[in-house]
Amino acid sequence: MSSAERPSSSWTVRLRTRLARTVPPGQLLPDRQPAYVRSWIYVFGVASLAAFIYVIASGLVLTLKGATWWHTSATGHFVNSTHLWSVELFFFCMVIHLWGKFFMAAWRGNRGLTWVTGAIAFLASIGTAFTGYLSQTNFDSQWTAGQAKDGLNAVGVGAVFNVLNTGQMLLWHVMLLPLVVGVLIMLHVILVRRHGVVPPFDAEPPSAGDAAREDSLEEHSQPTAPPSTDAASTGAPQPVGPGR
Amino acid sequence: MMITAGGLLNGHAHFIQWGVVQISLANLIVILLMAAVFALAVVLKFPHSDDGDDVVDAEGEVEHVER
Amino acid sequence: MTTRVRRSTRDATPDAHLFPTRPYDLVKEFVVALVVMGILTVLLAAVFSSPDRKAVSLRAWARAAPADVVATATAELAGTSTSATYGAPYNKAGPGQDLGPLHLQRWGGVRIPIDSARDLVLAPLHTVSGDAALTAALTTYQGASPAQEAKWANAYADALAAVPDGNPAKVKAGSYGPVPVLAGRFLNLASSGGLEGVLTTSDTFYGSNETKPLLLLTDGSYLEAQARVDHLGGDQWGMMNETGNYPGQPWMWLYTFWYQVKPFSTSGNADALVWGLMAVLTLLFILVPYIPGLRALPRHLGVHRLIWRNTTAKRAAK
Repeated sequence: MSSAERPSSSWTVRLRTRLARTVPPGQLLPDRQPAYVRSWIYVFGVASLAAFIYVIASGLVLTLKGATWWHTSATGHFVNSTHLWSVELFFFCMVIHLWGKFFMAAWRGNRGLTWVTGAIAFLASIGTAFTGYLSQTNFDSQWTAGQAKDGLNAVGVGAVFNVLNTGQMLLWHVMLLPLVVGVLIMLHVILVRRHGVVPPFDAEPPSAGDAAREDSLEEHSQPTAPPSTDAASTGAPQPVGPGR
Repeated sequence: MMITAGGLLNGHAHFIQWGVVQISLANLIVILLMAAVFALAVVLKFPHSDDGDDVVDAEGEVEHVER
Repeated sequence: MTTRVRRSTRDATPDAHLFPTRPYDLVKEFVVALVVMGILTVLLAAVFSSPDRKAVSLRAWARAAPADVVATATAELAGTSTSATYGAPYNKAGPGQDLGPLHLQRWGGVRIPIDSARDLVLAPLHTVSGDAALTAALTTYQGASPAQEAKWANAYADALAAVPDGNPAKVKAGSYGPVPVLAGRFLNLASSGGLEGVLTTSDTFYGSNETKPLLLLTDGSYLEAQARVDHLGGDQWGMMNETGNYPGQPWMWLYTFWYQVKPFSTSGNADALVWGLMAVLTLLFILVPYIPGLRALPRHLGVHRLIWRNTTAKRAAK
């Protein structure tokens, strides 16, 4: 939507405008990507996301029949196995994704928050997996709880986050923490769409060396949409850029 | 009635010791696999069709690039 | 968004949207990823399944290691068990761990008050009816002074420790008061299978909080002995491991590493120290983009040259 010359007094309009500017027009689900995005390392983000979807899906099936179903049902045990292995795949892909992003210094170009949301999502995933281990209602849960309580009590948080309280840990595992991880992933992906994939070190766009372009890059923190790659596919008029 | 877990990985765990480091065989395999997959991901060529692609620059001009 | 000068003039990374593009089907890529991950998940689950080592019930504990149950009950009464001397959040019997000058454990407060002797041993025993000898023992014990109670319990604990295998039947005669009866009946209660219920739901219908039975179980040595066989102990890199031959949590490698080396491995404050160290390292990890030096590392490591070797993006002269 085109921006008004002065901010609207309508909260709805202001929110809508702000939301619309989160991602450059056409970049929420673009059908083109920078030509330098050409390596297998780039698939591990989406691979992690796909694995995450199976973690949630298998977890949802486990919730259908309760926390101890998998101990006494072969089907339940199989679903539990898919939950375990999708988690292993999730961490497998996520860490490779993390290594790739580190070696590419993917935080360059104002992408610091993308790294931060990803890092926190990683840590939140570890916490979620941890509450999962506590929710197994088997030997592993007993031992893990007994050990972990010492670490948490040592820093004074063990009463608030009581790993010996299976009811609490189960609810954190199936509701609270997946929500946190899901929101973080969503923010992370939106940030990737907002800023685009980081260019290689020292890469220059084709008309580099143009002083005017360098100036305009420094003036605006908001990335602009590609002027007219394929208007039909982006499906919306292309504003020159916010704030200009 | 307890369903016991499938047989393949249920035996006694195997561990590898190296100084202070003690790692299960399963974990070691996972870590080595990750390193291998990362190396392959970085080294293997990502397929793309040269003919069908139009690499289009920011002004909408088709860029004739050396391949 | 307001327009503003880019904060760091040193980061001259150009806008990604100014570069030449090529068609790419993100949705197709996502669907392919879903299919591949789905196949891998189902395959791995079908081939390897998942571990499910049965929980150690208090009855199983009583049957497998009766001497351990008796010794644990005695230690609870003597106030010498791990939980009895733990400190916050269960009681004030111990100072808790410190992170340097920070008494974090103590500052957490006694928010889950547990009197080990009363809550873990005596209260469950009180629920047993029709056992005159037990009732008499309880009356005698609780009618005595705390000092006398401790004397009896400690004497019995020492006597048990002096016997091979801790077998109560072989204990030398001594002045143990009603403690042998209490400990022996406690073993019976555990063997009956009702102890978890008494500990979790004696004063409520619904129970989902296993704090008391878990504290009791971990006060004994049986659970740990079982865990150590699978290298799950803290000094065995246990945080990373899983029962059987399953992969565990390799991502915990750095957290558990510190427990294996000095000064952490020999410190009474190991948990607090490791947590403090990992908190700092975690913060550094989260803030990598903002840390000079660290954020410049990838450029020098050069892996990016492999990743971007096939691109034709023009490079600025350095």
